[in-house]
This record gives sequence, C-alpha cells and structure tokens, in this order.
Amino acid sequence: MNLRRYTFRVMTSTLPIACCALLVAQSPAPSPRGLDPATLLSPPADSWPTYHGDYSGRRHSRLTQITPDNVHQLTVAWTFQSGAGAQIKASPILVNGVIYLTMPDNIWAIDARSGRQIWRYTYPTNQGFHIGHRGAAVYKDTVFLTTPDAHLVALDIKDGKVKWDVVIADAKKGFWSTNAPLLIRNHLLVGVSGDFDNLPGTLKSFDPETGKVQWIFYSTPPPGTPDSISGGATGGQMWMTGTYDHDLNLVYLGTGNPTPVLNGPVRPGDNKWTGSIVALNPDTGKLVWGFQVNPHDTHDWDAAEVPVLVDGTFAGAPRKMLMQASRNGYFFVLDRTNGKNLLTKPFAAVNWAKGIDEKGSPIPDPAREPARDGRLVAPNEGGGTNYRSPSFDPRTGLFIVSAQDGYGIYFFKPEHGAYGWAGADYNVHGKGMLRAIEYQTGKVRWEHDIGGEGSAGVLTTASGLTFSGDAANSVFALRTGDGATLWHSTIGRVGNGPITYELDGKQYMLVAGGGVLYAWTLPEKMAAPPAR
Amino acid sequence: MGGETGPDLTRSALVAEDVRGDKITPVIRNGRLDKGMPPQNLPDADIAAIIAFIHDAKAKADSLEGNRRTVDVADLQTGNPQAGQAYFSGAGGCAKCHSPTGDFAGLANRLQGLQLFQRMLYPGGRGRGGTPPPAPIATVRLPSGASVTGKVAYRDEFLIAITDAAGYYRSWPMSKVKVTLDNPLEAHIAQLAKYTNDDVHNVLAYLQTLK
Repeated sequence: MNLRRYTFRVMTSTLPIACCALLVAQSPAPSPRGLDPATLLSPPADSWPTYHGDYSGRRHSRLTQITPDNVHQLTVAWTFQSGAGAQIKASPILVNGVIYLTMPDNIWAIDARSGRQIWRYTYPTNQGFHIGHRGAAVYKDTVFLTTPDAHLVALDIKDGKVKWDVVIADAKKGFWSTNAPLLIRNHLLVGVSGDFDNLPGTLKSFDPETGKVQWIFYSTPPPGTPDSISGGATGGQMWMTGTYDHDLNLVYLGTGNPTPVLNGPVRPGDNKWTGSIVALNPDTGKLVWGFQVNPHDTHDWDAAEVPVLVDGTFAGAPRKMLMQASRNGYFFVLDRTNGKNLLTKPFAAVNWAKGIDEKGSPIPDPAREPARDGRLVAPNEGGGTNYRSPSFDPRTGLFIVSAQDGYGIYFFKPEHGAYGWAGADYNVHGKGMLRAIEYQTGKVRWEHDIGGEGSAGVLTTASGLTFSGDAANSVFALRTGDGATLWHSTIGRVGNGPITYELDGKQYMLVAGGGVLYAWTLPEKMAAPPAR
Repeated sequence: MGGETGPDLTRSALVAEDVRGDKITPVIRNGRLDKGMPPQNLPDADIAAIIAFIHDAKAKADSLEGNRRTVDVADLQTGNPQAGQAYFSGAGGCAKCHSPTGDFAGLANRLQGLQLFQRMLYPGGRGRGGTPPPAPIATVRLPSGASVTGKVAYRDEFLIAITDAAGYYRSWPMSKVKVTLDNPLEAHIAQLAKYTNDDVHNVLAYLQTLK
C-alpha cells in the first residue's frame, strides 16, 4: 500500500480543510441560487440539474431549436478553458444559469451564458486515485464534490466555500471516488471504487444538510458478516450514478465486478450481487430486487453502466422497463417493477457465454476464464461499452450506445494470489461503433464507425438529432433515424456526454474536448441560404 | 475499473524496455498523433523528470500487493508446434502474408513470450519490439481524376492524410476524394473472431521454433 496516502490522512485531520483549499473567487460575480430537490422530478428546459439530466438516465432532451436542417450552422457561443492538463470526463450540471464542472480535486462554477468562471474550489493535494471524475450534485444551496481519497465535500453554492467534509470510505484500504452523487429528496447517494483490494461493494446515503450517514447498502458482505450469497467474493462497487422511479420509489444501480478480479476459482458461484442491476428503496437502502447481468465475472466487466428507464410497449403490452447496454457486451431489457428479464441480446463482439439461462443471464463459459497460458476473450477489459452514457430516443425507440468490438487476453495462475487484481490481462484490439439498438428485438438498426474505443457519451434531442464524439477528437451530430452524419467539429478528445439546455430563448449544446468545455448555439441571425 | 482513456504506463511494454529515457524520450518529443498525443517541446530537465516519475510510478505499482500481475515465458508453452504450423500454412491463412524463411526468419530471436503472443494476435497494438508492422496504404482519387498513393499518415471519418512517395504529408477532406485502403492488418482483426483457444497456443508454439 501507499504510505504517502497515510501521511496525508494525518495531515488533514490536524489542519482545517478550508485553509488547505485553493479558493479563487472573482468579483463582481452573480450569486448562484439553489435547487429544490423536487425540481429533479421534472427539470425545466433551462437546466440540467443532475448527472443524467433527469432521473430516467435517457439523456434525451425535448428541445427542438437545433434541428437536422440547421445543425450544420452551429457556432461556438463560448469556451471554458479549465487550464488543467487532464481531460474533462464529467457531465456538467446546470442549475439556475450556473454550470458546475468537475475534474479530480476540482470544481468550477461557470456562467452558462458566457463561460465565465464564477468560482473554483480545489481540494487539498492527496494520494487518492486520480483516474477521472463524473460530476457534481446540487441540493438547495450546497454543491457536492467527491474526491480521489473518497471524501464527500459540501460547498456553499454562492462562493464555493467548504461547509463540511466527511469520509465516504477509507482511502487507506483502497477506496476512491469519481462519483457524481444522486439526490433523491433528502438522500444523497454516493458510490465509491476500488479494484486493487478486496473491498465490500459500498453505497452510502448521506443527509445533504449535515453529512450524516443515513444508510449503507452493501452489494457484497462487509467484513465480519455471514456470507450467504457472494461465494466469498468482495467488490461490486457502485461507481456510476443511478436512476430513479418516483412512482415505484425505487433507485436503480449497476454494481461492479467481483474481487479478486481475475481469480474465479477462489470465489465459486454467481457472486451476488456483483455484476448486477439492483433496485433499492432510497429511504432505507434495502434491496427490493436484483438481476445479475454478469454472473461469476472473471474479466473486470462491471455492470455499472447506466440503467436507463423507459415507459413503453414491449411485445404488445405496456411496460415500465429498465435497459442496460452492459460492459460484458450484452443488452438487457428488464421489467423494472420486479427485475424480470424481457430481452438479452449481444450488441458487441462476445465469445465468453455458453448461452442464456432461464432468468435471462448469460452463462459464463469456463473455457474463457483467465488461465495460465492466456485466453483470447471478447470483449476486452474496456468492455462492449463502459461508463460513457447511452441515450434513448422515444420517437424511434432506439437505444444508442458507444460500443466496442474488442478482444483481450486474460491470464490467471494460482501464483497470482487472491487479492485485488489477482491476474493479468492485455488489450489486443478494439473497434469503436456507435450502435442504435431497437429495444424490442435487440437488433442493431444502424451503426456509425467512430474509429477506436470511444470515450464520449450520447445525447439525443426531440428534433431527431444524436450528438456524440468519435475516437479521433471530433464531436458530431447524426440523424437519429439512420445515423447519417450532419455536422462535426474537431475539438479534442470528447470525454463526456454532451448536454443541452435553453437560456434566453437559445438552445445550447455543451461538450468537452480535451480540457476545454465548448458551448454551441445557432447564430444570432441565421445565415442567408446560398444563392441559387 | 479500467477502460478509462489513456494507457496505463506502469504496464507499458515500452516503459518496461526503457533505459534512462531511450524509449520514452522520442515518444514525448514526437507525440503519437494517431492516438491523440501531441508532441511536447520541453527542456531536457523536464523530460528527465517525467521519465523519472514514470519509472517511480511503475516501481510502486509493481510492488503493490493487489495490482495487476505479469506473465512468464514458461506460462506460454502449452501449444503444439506441428498443429501450429499446419494452421499457419492452412486454415489460419497466415502464410498468405508471412513466410518462415522470409519475414519470419529468426522471429523467435527477436520476440519472446508475451511480446510475441501480442504481436502475433495484432501487430498494430501492444507487444513492441522487432520490425514495425506495415502501415496501411491509401490510394486517394482526387476531384481532377488523378490518384495519389502513399502510407496512411492519418485517417478518420472526415480527413485522410498520406505520406506521399517523396515523403511529404498531404491531406484531403474525405468528402472531396475517393479513398481505397489496403490494410494488411485487417486479416489479423478478422482472425480474432475465428481462433480457437488451441489455435492461438499452437501458432504461438510454432512461431517460437522460428529461430
């Protein structure tokens, strides 16, 4: 373990956090205003107040000013230069005209009309894992930031000053957090990560006013508790933001892979509830149902990808559905009232399953488990998809996901042990494709070559547009119906999902390229049509 | 865990082979434009500091108990070389492009173990060392009707760039030209979906005999 990480923990316990923080406030500044949690049930068009934009995870906007006919005229309204060397991977959120954008250890409040910085908060230097950051959350007058050393920091929405700072999980044990918290009424749900140590899958609900823990959900048993279902596995971290159905009062989360990661023999059985979609009561943290998309994983394929909530028809009957394109290369449709499977189909190259069982879960083929001399397996560790958000377009019924056909070689031998990674794996080749899946059949209606493995999420709009990015530094707009390219701009590696909102009668589309956030709109005066 | 953008340098074959910056320095200075990494014009002292940091991070990662493990050459000796030779010359189609007495003569002296395994499966990926894989060749038909052929310097949905016969970089919008590609690595990609577990170990065993 890393001794410098211990040193830092001692330091923060003896010094007031605020004095370590770099706080840059500029004046005069507009004073950001707060968020009523009830707004999240029906977010207004001038907002994107939570990671997915709303509770459904559909990343679909009803805005229609930017259309297939005028998207080629998009122009840059403003850019925000983070000045940081790292890539922006977060989804910005927008509350009352102010954007909150995160990177590891950093959060900026930015004027959504101009891109001007209002304030910035920088967390003290720490030895946590700085792999990326997904985004912030807002509750009333408080903005929340999770940190690489697994703290939850509450900041004053007006000026970014620290209100309180609590530990989510012990960084010394190997936890870190990149999580964009999910707010449900007065519950702030926060997840963590940690694959290099054998740690129980941990999701905590905090009181957003005080930082007190309300409940903890463990996807695998914590130390010292009887283990009836996990087969000895730890892991199953819930590091992505969940979705929520208000009528059913259920929050849905994808759980991560089991640990030890590549050593399967030491943890026999399905290893519940790793590699699963779980439905919890947000008031108590109790499990209502679980569906395992990835029983007995041995390839680092977590099921943390977005559980997208859709109300529609399936096989002729109205259904409340949950859809996930999972990292193991399979697309799932579930009945979200009870977790029963409606459809399981591959959407990317897969060679690891012997078939689908009666409950709808793929059956792992033991011949594709990591072995001493290596096994060639599809997908690779990066997966058939990953954290990048998909989008569901209700008009076409298409579930659009940044997919990858990838192959990797996976190794495990007893000498690798039973702690943390416990094996070795290497990517061989991956090809990225944006794929539009018909949810009732799992059939791919169209696909769009994006080069190598993508890192961009997807946004669809009611005007029939799909925004995303390729592996070659371009953001693009496609026609949702058939995937035809309508517009693009080379802005740097797109590392997040685009978002959209309307302010002062103008629709904006926000997307990050490298370390820069770009805001696109239509020109003030539309260009005259070309002379004929 | 994993799957984030950017390779894990603590597990990079190039970093493992680097001796005081001999492999890393050119990558920092020249960048890898095809993978989105720009060239860095930095003073020598800064580059030396970056290289020291990377080696330090690798040493720490290697010492962590729960970190990723490694593969030994001895682990990879399970194949049948005769079956591998038959696959190489027959069903695998390897002999269409490669010859044990031509480009593969002495191959096992240049590449061993995991490096050879990775290069065998996909020469354009990881598993460095030996001769670089051939670049794809593009023939670009211009609006005038003329054609230019050269090694692909860059390609995405919107732009094609080649290095022409005289060594100059030339690029065109994809919308203005017609491009024909000859990528010898396509056969390797197609083969990934066809290999059985025995095939990959048998071919590897055969390649290890080419000394």
